[in-house]
Amino acid sequence: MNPETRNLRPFFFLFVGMMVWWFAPSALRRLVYEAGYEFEAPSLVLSSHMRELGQYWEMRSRSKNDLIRAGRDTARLAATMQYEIAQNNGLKEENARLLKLIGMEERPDFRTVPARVVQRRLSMWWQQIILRKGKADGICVGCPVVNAYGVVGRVRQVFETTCVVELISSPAFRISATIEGIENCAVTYQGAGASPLRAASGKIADIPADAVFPDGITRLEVVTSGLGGIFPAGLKIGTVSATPTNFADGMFRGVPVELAQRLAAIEEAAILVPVDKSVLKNFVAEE
Amino acid sequence: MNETIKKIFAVSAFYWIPACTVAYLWIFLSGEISDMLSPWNLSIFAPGLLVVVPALLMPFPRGLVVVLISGFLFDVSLPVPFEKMESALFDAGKEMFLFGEMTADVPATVGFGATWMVIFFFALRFLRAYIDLSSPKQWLVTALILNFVIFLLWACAISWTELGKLAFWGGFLATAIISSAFIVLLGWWFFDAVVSLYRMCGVDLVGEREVEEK
Repeated sequence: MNPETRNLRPFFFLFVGMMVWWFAPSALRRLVYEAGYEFEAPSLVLSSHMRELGQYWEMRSRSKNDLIRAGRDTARLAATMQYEIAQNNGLKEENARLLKLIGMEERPDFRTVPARVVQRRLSMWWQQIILRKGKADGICVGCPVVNAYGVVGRVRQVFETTCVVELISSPAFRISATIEGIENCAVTYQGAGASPLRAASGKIADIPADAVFPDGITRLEVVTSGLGGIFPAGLKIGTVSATPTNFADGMFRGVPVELAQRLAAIEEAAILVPVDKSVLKNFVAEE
Repeated sequence: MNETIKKIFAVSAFYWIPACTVAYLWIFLSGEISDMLSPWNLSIFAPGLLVVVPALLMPFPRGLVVVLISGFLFDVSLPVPFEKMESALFDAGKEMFLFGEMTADVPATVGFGATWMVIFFFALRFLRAYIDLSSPKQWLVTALILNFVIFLLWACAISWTELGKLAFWGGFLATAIISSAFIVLLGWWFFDAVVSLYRMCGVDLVGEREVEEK
């Protein structure tokens, strides 16, 4: 083999290797990807446990008075919540009776699975978090993720003990919503990503041009409408200004959405697993 | 016992283990630092370092295997971006007209990072003559330049629809600066860890390179 041919040999092997990989069956590539992720997952989970251990020892250093005060405040909150839960149960039953009377289908029921955040992946390219629950806990692709402050996101990928959640600020996240104070106005909320050193945000671009905004209010709340059948209705998304921008075509108006919570500060979230998983059939089919 | 360990890691089948172990730790550290920077929407992108030692200090076939495995570990750690990777690359790849129509439904970044790392592995092999292989400072400078170039190509590929926007370049520069600072601060640890781990396994990477050059 002459020296010139020998010098080209590495490039030949590179070309062959790339062709083999690009045309390798998708099952093989998915296997490699999932195997690699499952190999990495235990170290992420261990890291999150170590962080919680650090937080535990930090709380241990607090004085007893602080702990008594915190316990008392929590007991008051729990008592209020108990009353709200009892009221909610009554409203649920009344709702079910009314839906049956008018012949409408009941809204899907959910099982709540609390999950701690393992890792945050927030940058201008992606807006995701990894939670410490997975297939072993019945989580499936498309499950809504919420917390006390409102919508957090939607489960995008599920592995054995962890799952990846696409956050509400991701441009790949869309949800049907309503703006409180405006009647008969179903809109679509979409994440708008984030720039470095700036808060993440969202946007609504399909407010009808003839929608009437209430007077005397500067900001309006945006909540889920429940029309998609996956996210329950009434969950907080964020707030919008009461003076949206008109688009050039005059048919719709758009407005940026200030999110209800700081996504980077989320330590724990609740995954809503539908009792009837056929509700998520579109997402399950993609998986 | 030491002789046994040396014999084991001298074999090609196990040679990649120390380098890929340190590569995995590097990727894990990058992820933890990115987690800490997430309140400011910043992240670390530092795969360039993983190419330097295999390209400069290892024999060709073994270095290539190390880069491939490190590349796959890096790919797995990357979150799938906002469908831009898919729309930019794999939507086109979903329907490939080669012996008919073929549909590929794969995670968007599988193999993409590894591909760039292998390409630059070959490039660096050719440029070895211009780098002082016994100077860790030169390894660090090489890693910085390589990482910046890989990041530039990668960012342009996944966000090619936004190249004309100032916001994209602002974010790109912020991430590039943070990543470079990360490499400068911890790159010395990475090189030390790889060389020391191989020395413990009976392989003197720097010494072997000097003998090859002579």
